[in-house]
Amino acid sequence: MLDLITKLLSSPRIFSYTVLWMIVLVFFGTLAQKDIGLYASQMKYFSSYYFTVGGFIPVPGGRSVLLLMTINLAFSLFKKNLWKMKKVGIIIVHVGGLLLLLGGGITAQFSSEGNMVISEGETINYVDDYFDMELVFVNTSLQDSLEYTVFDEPLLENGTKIIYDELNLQIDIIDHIKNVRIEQRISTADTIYKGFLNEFILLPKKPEKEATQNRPGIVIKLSGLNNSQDGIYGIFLGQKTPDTFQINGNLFFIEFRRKRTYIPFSINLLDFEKVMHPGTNVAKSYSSEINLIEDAISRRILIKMNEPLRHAGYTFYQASFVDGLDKETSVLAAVKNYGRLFPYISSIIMSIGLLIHLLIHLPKMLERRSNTI
Amino acid sequence: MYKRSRFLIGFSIFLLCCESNEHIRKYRLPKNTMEGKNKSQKIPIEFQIGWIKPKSWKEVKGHAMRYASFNAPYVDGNADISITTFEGNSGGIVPNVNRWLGQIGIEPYSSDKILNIEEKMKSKLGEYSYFKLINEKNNETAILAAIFELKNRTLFIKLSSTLKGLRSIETEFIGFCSSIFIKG
Repeated sequence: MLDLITKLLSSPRIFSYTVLWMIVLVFFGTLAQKDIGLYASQMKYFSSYYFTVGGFIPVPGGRSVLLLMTINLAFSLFKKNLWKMKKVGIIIVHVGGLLLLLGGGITAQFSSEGNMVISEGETINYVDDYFDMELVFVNTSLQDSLEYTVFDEPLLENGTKIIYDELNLQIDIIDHIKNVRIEQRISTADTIYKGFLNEFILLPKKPEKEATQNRPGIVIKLSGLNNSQDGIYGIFLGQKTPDTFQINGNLFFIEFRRKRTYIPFSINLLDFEKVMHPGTNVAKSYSSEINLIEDAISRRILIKMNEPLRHAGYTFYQASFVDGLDKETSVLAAVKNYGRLFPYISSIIMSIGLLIHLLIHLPKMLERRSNTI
Repeated sequence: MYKRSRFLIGFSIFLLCCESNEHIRKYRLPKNTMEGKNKSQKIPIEFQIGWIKPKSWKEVKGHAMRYASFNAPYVDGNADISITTFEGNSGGIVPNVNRWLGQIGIEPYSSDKILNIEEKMKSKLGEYSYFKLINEKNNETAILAAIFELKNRTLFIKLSSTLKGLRSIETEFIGFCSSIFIKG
């Protein structure tokens, strides 16, 4: 039985078909970027296990295809006729290919990317995710600290009911809106609407092609507080003054923000400098002079375009800037990619494999050639 | 050994596909950390405006969405004045004026009619649209509104009061709107 499975899963046909399907995905995924934007296209065609065509026909997405390709390559190593001296180059190429796919898997599962927006003089020790959001309950009543209870994006889907015993709280996700429009209420709100929703309503707006330009919002129902505080609350990204309520005598506020990943060091922006092309408003180059603060030790570093800062597994690229009225703001793209080295290593391994394969077969090829001459 | 290796490979791939299930996190940060301190500075560009207000107007704490709020006294009470600002055109002039008309109990106007009642005024911020919205059948609610369509955002200044209050404060309101300027 196991041999049959091995035979099926190691079939070279699987590899051929998966490669062909990837070509199809790349083609349509690239075309789709024009209409739905880069992120939505990446999610639909490449980061999904499947997606539907025409609304109801399921077809495999990039993840399942690459997973199948990985299984196929892994099982092909168990073919008994592969383990011969003259095929050592092929084995090495297979191992290299497998490493490349495993690296891709690690990157897809464990890597994170986001940005760090720092104004001159500011110090920050976290990275904001580009796309994922989080709902945060902040307890402000502790003497020296703020206590954050964070609910991640997967819990924030419409219809989800979160029962959080620690605060004796039930949160019902009524509407997670990708891009909100805020409108003032025309008539008096029902008493079930609390705080900000008492005067305003959150309405969905057509999402922008570039997901980072959207302003997400969320409408939630809180139960378990008390009669006057239980009700429907609305929060959106960048809300200046959040809604507050009391739980067990402690004052909380809620925040809906981009998923925050804390890093084990801080970055203090000393100076942001941009050089414009003469006579234009087009930036020629821009750079951020920063202090990297770790364990109370500070060191000065210059991050420029194409000269990123690499530290503790993170890479910070100079991505953009915002002109401020009184000070400038630098936008650093932060990437933590555990599979960063896999493409380099696997490419070297595959090159070595191809070279060995060529060297093994070279004498035969030369012999054949001399025979024909 | 051979069979076990195949099982291990399959199992490892399965594990790689599994997601972490820790979706609720809890942590504490000292109140004086950079997160607490810089909270209000998170918006990269802070739109800051200034104004010259009549002496009798009192700045009051308004709703979170308001940039500023004032109480302007008149004989029978106080008019509520709000300044709000949103990125982009915030729906445009017509829907906003119709929303205000709804607040004083008047059916929506057509775009042409709104253009007819629009007055163009001048201020330190440039030209703005001025609307006097009165419901002849109801003296209890009336609105004066100024809409400043700026480069990437819209600024709304709105006065809500009774018709009597509106009439007594209108000149001050126009002077106030014309005095708005960008700080810095």
